Amino acid sequence: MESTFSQLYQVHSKQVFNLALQYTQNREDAEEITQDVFLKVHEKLHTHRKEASLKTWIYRITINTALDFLKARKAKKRWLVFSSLFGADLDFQNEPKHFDHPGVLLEQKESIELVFKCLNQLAASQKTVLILLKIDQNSQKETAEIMNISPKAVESLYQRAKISLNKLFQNYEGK
Amino acid sequence: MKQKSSNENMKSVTQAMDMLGNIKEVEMPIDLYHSIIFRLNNKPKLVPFYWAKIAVAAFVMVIAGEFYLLNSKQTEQTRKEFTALVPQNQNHLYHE
Repeated sequence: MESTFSQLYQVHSKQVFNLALQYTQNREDAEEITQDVFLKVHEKLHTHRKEASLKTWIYRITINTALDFLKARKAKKRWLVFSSLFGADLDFQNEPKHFDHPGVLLEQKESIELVFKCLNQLAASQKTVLILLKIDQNSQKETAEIMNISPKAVESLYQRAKISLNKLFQNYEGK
Repeated sequence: MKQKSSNENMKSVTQAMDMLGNIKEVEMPIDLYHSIIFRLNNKPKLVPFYWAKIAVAAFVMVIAGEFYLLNSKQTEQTRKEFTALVPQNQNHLYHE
């Protein structure tokens, strides 16, 4: 069991870490998500059904873990703002982390940070489609399989994501 | 600031997509595997969710049973009290 797990880690950890990084844009958070993903993989490996490939299965776990992580962070932030209204001190350790994406070239950092700022405001499924198609460079078919939807639905989500991004860019440029 | 035309904006979206494609793959931190193994070995022993569900269901059933019994006893008692209150149909006179 341990050697299987170690092999799984060797093969898939880089993908998991990079995917988590696209969701959080922060190295520390991506490490935390990667740890959580492999704990889940270790726990649920016996439930994995053969009809879905292991890669797809691990991808799905990563996406769900990353989205849950971001949701929890958002809730924590909301609670911090709420408690600060009643005079409680803001715990800055729980504040969202700054943009720290090691895969971004220094000369593009500012513009990519803005793109991610807009990307983070999209609906979870639109964000996932963009990450899987554009950053992770998966094909439309692979993306559909990972997200458990049809390739047509992927295309439609992608088009909607582009329109939403366009609107968000307009808002930022108007400011 | 002058508003951009929708064509220019779509162009900037396309540029943004290209930029996203330029993001490099990052190497894994070396010590991450050891952190995972450490967490696996020190994982708190939790009751499986399946057993927790069974325990909750049993508890709910016991409480529901208690309510039912209590309620049926009360009904019987109320009936008895009611019967005691209702004047009995008899022809005997008092102090006859």
